[in-house]
Amino acid sequence: MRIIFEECKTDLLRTCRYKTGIISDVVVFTALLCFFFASNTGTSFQEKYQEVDYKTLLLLGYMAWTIASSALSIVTSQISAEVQRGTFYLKINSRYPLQIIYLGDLISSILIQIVIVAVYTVITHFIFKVDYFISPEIVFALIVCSIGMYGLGLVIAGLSLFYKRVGSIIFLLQLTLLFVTDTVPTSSAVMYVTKFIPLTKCNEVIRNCFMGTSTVQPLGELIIYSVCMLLAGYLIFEFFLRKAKRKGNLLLY
Amino acid sequence: MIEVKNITKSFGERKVLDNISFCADKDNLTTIVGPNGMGKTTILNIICGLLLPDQGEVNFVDCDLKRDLFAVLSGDKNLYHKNTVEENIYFVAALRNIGKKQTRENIETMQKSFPLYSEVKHKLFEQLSFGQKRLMTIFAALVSEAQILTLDEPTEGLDLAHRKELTQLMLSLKKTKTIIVISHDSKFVSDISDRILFLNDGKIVQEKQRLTEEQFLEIYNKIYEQEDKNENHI
Repeated sequence: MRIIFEECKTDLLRTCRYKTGIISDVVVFTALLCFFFASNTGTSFQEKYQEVDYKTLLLLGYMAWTIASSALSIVTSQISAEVQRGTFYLKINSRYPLQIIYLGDLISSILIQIVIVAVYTVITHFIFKVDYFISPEIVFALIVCSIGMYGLGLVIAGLSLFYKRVGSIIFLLQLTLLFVTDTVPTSSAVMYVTKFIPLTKCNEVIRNCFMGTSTVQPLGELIIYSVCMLLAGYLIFEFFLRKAKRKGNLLLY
Repeated sequence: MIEVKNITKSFGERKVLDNISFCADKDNLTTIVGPNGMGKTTILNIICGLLLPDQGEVNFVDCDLKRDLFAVLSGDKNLYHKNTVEENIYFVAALRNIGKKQTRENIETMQKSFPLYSEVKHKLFEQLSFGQKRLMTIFAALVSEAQILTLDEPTEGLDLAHRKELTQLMLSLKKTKTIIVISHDSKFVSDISDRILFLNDGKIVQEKQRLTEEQFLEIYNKIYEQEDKNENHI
């Protein structure tokens, strides 16, 4: 546990010292959300959930996407930065598996995303009069979803160790998730394929929670998908790490 | 002790290391020399576990790669630039499962040999000079109880004062630590080395015990047919 705490602490301190990174994230996430609200994106949620307040349903999904997309990209972005900086070998030679150490970065990135979410929810509250509430169940779903998306991120990080420069793929994936996981309304045909992504189930759980309907089944599915994703990510990352060591890919980025 | 046994490594068609074997131990500081592109850094990378050999193995006798080895890379890319020196030291110790209390005690013990630490501990690592970064990286290694140090071009970019300080440090550390160095600096090599391995085309072509700088240069030039007889730098 201590190494996760230390990793989280040192990463938070680093991130706070690069102030512009957080500010630019706040600007981008807020601007995109304002665009969705201004263009009345999400009106079909009214029909789907029998709820007039579609903007809150959109906001809840957008919050989950903000955190999930960060969980997805954190390992890849850390590894690419560390290989270039030359600090990656410290972690390779650590007594802990990389997949465990980077949990500290996951926590740090979630904490930063919470700040970003807080800022854009306050801004949109004043501009678009959108209100929401957070229950312990929603928090739990967001945590489980983050862990699942972290697992998916480990798969991409493994690929990045071997193939390098997958930053644009990450960006594309983050954008795709926005449109295929019911964060903004997604067709049922697409959802049939993407229902296994933890973010899709997380959106269902938090919206059901907001509507006061049962969350037992989607929450159970979210937990199962997230655990499977984490295990798969752990193993695939290990596989590519070994391949990268054999090929010498760890030495350059 | 580290045993490097019959290591062979190729990148594509090019064989970078060809059946390399040697041992490194305490009080027997080993330096690997040779022109650029001869595979010196590849050997260190294999020892450090960053690279797997095609054939052969590295054995850690009475020590452990993850517990005892600390690699000081070339350049200033060793610790986190946007963290303070103190944050870096504690973080490196945590990576090696050394508790905060123990880290604090180790810092207090080591600080006598590194008075620089108390001056710079609250500075961001990026604010240090090249030489200070190098010394603080070694300090981090010692505080985290590393028993094996590998150093890639440790004197590169150092001024005379820092180079002298580093030489003194190596001489004092080698009694208790296993140290492997890669260097092009003839004076530094002859000052610190108990054993020098000359690498050529991926093979160890000569192995010599303690040499003066003149002896070293003579052998080096003979092997690599170099004309440059600069006294301080090859």
